[in-house]
Amino acid sequence: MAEPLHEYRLERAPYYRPAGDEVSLFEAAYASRLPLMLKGPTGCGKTRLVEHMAHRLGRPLVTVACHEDLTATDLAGRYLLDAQGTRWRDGPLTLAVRHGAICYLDEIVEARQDTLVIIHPLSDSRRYLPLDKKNELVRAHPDFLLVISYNPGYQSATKDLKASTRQRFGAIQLDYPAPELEAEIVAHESEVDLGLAGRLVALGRRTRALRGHGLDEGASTRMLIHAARLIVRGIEPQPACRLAIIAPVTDDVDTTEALEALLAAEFA
Amino acid sequence: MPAATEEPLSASFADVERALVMFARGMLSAPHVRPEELRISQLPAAPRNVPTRRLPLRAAPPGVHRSFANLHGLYLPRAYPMFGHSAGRRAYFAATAHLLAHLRHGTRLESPGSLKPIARILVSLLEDARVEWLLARELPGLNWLWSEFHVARPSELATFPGLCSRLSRALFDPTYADPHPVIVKARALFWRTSGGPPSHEECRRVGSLLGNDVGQMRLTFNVHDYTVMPVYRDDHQLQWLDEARPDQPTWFEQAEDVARVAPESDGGENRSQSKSDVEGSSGESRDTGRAADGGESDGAGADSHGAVTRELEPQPNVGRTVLHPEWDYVIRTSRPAFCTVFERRAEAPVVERSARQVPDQEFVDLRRQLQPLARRLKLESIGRVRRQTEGDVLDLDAAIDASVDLRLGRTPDDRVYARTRPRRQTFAVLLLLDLSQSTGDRLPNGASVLDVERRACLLWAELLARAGDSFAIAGFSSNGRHEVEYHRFKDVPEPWSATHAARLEDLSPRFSTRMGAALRHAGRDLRTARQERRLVLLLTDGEPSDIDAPDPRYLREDARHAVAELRRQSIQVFGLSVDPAADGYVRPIFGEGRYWVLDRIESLPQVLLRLYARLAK
Repeated sequence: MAEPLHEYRLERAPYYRPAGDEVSLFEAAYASRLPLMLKGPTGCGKTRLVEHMAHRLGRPLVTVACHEDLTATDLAGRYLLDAQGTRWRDGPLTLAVRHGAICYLDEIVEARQDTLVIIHPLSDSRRYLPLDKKNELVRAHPDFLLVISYNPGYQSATKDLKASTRQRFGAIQLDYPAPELEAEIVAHESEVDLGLAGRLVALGRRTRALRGHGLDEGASTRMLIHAARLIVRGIEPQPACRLAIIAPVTDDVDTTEALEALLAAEFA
Repeated sequence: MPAATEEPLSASFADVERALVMFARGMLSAPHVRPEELRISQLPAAPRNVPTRRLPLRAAPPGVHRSFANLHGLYLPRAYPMFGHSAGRRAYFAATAHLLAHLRHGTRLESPGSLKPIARILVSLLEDARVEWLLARELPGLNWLWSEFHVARPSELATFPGLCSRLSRALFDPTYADPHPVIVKARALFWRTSGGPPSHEECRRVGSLLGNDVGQMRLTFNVHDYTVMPVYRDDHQLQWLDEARPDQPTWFEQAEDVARVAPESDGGENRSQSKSDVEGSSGESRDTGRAADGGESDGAGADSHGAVTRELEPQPNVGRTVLHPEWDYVIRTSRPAFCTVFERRAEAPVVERSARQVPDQEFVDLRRQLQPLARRLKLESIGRVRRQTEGDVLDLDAAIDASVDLRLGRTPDDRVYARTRPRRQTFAVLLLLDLSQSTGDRLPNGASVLDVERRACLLWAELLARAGDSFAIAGFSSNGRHEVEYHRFKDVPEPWSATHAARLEDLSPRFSTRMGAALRHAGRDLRTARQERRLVLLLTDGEPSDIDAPDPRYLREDARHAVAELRRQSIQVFGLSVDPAADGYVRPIFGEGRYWVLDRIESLPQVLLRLYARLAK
């Protein structure tokens, strides 16, 4: 019988360059099946870390991007109508619980509070998922692990995780890597040379200094990689950064001018 | 970039200010930024009677447009009238980058000692070249920014200023050819160290050597008219200590003092006036407050959050008096019933205000501009209500559940419809205005900070009311811990009306900023709101301070604690500061990602609404 989560397996090892001890921490947490919360700004590598770990631990990875209309049913599963009557279909969370995958709930604060309580029995010593509609108690597969990500930025100023949710998790705080390391990552992901990657990182760090002063977030590592990939394709650094960094991060005229001047100072 | 012919206007400081501050912030992305490096202002207008003969320590006569830096920040010309719009804007960026080069690369205030004016100017030129080279090594694009302004040629007039322009260019631009012997010698001495420019001390030695050579050439030179070139360079004042008059403020500081003293003396009058007003109108309530403070708690109930309430006889203009605790970081504990907050119900002024209530054109324009944003808010507050007994569409989930139940032989739930209707209100926001004395400060356009805040607040309220959102508006000021005033302009359940708008008209700035007490009081106000999500949006122009708290950290720590207390009651607090230098204290108070710092107060109306739209989402 084919493995049910075959398509959720990562075939190739995703590139991940550890910035600290997060890989060994993640491994230890997995070994004791401690649910994990990854915290950090957007585009700093939270998702990549989970993919990397799923591959390293040999587990399939089920990812759910959370949004405010996500209901408990969307996670757990629902009955569908078909010609014979109704048929139960497992939701992504149930699939992961049954078959021992890592379930990654991305941007968890976006989901409604009432949706989140269904993960409570899964994330403590009970380790089961009650499916009240189906009248079934799904015991978690021994390999199952729940991972959530959380960006304590502006979006969450009025949305916050309840203490009862938070306290079930261990947390790993991620941030943008140190400059040399970030340059190495940009160079690896885009195949741009290390010198140019270093200058992109320097620009990125300058934009991050504007956080709270016109920008909600500075340019993420992901954006720097986008810019670098355009450069590899033969685009000049200035238009590449304009397309991949400046235009996406702001619509404001003054902020754009300041960013343009910083860009020109870096790459004229 | 548009062609130069289409730009009749030159750029002024006000046009570029906001972008410049962001530029400087980005340039200094290093972790330790000194606050003066980010405080960018325009040069004060020249005082009428500028002394005509004085020790010329600044290489620009009064009235000429050169930048300047001192311990208070960077100062840029009010305009670069010699340029068109876009070149003028570039000149501002070039000038800012040049000043930052000085600050980053260690230009120090030094004594001219025995240096003659000519040698001093040459030392400064070498120092300019040194710091620019060092900054451009990090940011090579700056060379491109600066090069536009280096236009000197070997054919310049054979005067000392002409020679200086050429020397500046020669040290800046390695491809520039100039056979003048002084320039050849200067280049050779400057680049003697391989791999970089000379040190700060070496610049002084080389400059004084060159000074001797130039002195013997008898070039035309009037020290009082000398103007540094190119235009983006500063006037060298940041480098030279005025030894002859150690107590004498420099020309700029004089001008600054004039600008600073005027509004403060006005403010002093206001202050004493408004204080007597307060005593006249509310003497009775203050007496009651003191009695409660003294610990005689008969009839005063303490609630679970440490606030003590004392209901008063209903009086015009006066509400409850509430005692709030205050956190003392030194003893690491909360002092119970420490601050007395007097609630005031701001009354709509009785005088006929028809003239004032006609909104001016600017307000109307702004309202038109912001309406689309408000409409979006309105759309967002409409939601789909599921599992209803009647509605316009079938609720798929409910329908499926129902047929499942049918087939299982159970009684199905008949609530299988969904309909769209305004979502029940789940968000209440309290806008808390800082009414302290400093909000009376005048902006360059003559309006006060409070005027801008009032206008922003009116627009915000009007558009929110139209979108049907719940909100409250209150303001606070303090005069020591026994006298914290909390003005209620609008409560959450009240519908917005012209009366509320009129109340806001009567805002007047006074006293200090005891943020913690005001936050606790606002939290108490919101605790009773039925909405699921509650937010206090604090609009302030400075850090917490009060007359009885000389230690600046004390009230800051208290405010931080007040924010944490509100969060524990699931009331979120967001800070919006119009003080561009607020980072140092707003981050610890409100927490990462829970504050915005506004570099340009004029954009407050837009920012306030945009911020609300984001927080309400």
